[in-house]
Amino acid sequence: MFRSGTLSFLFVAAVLAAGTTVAGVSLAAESIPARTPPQAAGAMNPPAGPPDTAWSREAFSLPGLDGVKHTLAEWKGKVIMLNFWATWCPSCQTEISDFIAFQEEYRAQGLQVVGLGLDVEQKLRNVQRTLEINYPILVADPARHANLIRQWGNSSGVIPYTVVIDREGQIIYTHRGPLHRDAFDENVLPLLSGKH
Amino acid sequence: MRMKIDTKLIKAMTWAALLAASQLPAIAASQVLASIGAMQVTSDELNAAIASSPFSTQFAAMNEDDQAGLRGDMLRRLVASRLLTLEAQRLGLDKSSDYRQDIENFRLGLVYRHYMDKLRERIVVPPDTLAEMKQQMKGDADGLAAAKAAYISNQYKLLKQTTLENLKNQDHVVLHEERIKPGIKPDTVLMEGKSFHIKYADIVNPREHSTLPNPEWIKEQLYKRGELLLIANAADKLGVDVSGKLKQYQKERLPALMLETKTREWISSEKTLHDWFDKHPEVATIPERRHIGQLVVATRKEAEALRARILKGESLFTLAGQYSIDPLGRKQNGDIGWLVAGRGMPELDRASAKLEDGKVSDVIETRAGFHLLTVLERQPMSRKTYAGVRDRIAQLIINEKLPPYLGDLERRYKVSWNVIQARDDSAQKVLKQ
Repeated sequence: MFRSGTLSFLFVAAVLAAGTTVAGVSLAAESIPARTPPQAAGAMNPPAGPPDTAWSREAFSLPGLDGVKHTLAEWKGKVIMLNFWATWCPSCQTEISDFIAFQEEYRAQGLQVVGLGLDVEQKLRNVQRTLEINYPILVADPARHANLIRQWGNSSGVIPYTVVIDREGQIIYTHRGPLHRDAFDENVLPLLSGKH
Repeated sequence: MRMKIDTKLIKAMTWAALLAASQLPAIAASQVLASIGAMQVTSDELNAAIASSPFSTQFAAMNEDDQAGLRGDMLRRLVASRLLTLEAQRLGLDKSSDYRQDIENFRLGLVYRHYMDKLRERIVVPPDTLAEMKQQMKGDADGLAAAKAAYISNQYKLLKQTTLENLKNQDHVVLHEERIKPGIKPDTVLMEGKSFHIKYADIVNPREHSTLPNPEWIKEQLYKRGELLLIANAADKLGVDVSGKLKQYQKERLPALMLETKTREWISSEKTLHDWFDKHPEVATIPERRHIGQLVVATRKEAEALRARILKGESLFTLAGQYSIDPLGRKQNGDIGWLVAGRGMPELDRASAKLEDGKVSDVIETRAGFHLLTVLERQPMSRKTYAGVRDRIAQLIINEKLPPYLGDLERRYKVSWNVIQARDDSAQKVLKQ
């Protein structure tokens, strides 16, 4: 009884999961594979040798909308949600409204959302003003930084895409598509309760 | 076409000027932006309308002036919608039986959905099944979410079926499918229970079906209607409140109904469309398209010299790549792509119209310089059939009739605006874009 139920939900799950991938938006010029490999906690293979943390990776330095250059290391010790997005992507905007609320609610516990806008600066600035984004937005020219999203574990380049980094720099969770409250509660909230 | 653009520009200018200072995120309290008789449009309503519009994503990425222009345009639409509502009320459209039936059907749909949503919410994935799913999905968030959704969807189907069976039994529902046959009357009852009955006319509109449709199709309508009424009835017994959504629907439906009524008046028959088509044959015209090569230089002397070289056998395209003063043209070796007849610089349009394919033109002087043209190939002018432009004609008639009609309504119902006057230059910027 349970066995056949399991099989049928797995089958439907595979179909639906492929659907959600296609429903996302790809920055990549090449086509998206029908079923991309799962991305989740520990899904990024650690290289042999030193542990793979956000700090052992190649650092990026990008201009922020505040006019200052930023590196991710500035927020060392916080729980970081690095969010790849673009202004033309509707689900990115929906998600941003939630991120604004998360940032507001969990700032004191050390949550730091960092938006990485793969778009033209003026458009990013307009969205920041219109949606009243309360966390830093870094500007990454999509032509020059097309590989950045892949380096952070998203081979298909689909946005929105979010990387969750704990206080020690461990990449705890990656999420393709809009990250809603239930995924936040399950994957980010537990990291916030433990003070550094 | 031109008239449409002009209207757009004027609107953009006026409304950008009026609204440049307003912002999208609601300020502490909603402001009244316009009042129309006893009705209003508030800033919250304007923001909600923009958020639910197809351009809401682009809107957030626009500059302030462009946002102001769009906000103005949207406010204008909302005011028009209020005017149509007031007129509909004056004419008693909100009392008509069609409208009431429409609203009641929408209400039934709302309570039905509410009841079903509650039913679905009661389903939880049992802990051991959930653990099994997590094991299978190994942390694949998308996959896990889909697996949960699939489980709930299966359970929901079962629950829905048993719920419906129970309701049918409680209501002692009887089906009269055998009455579906030629000669059926609008008031023939096809399904009845303690709390409701469904007549033929409830599921088949005699205006749309003069003869008996496929009985299987009728049965399908009957079951759907039966399910709707049974569930809605159960929801009503629980006291489900859908007044908020219903009000919102009424608010949108009444002006739409007014517009539909006026449209039927403006386009009273197919003849109206035909007559308009006869008067405006250009609506069906697809103009000639020409694939053009061009060379442009600063002096006539230079142009004549190059023309002589082309006539002796050199390529216009090679020469354009070397000598054209137009940087894009030079880059593309003089290939400027397909141009639509009647557009672009009139001198070039006239010259290319009569130029034989593959020949080089005489020197043509424009404000940009001295040009030599050649036409590589052309797609001749063609015409769409009446059927191909029928919908477009209907829209054009509405476009023509609506503004003066709204003008009349604005005079009938007092409209006053409470918007902030912006600097003139912001409107100018919108105009330029």
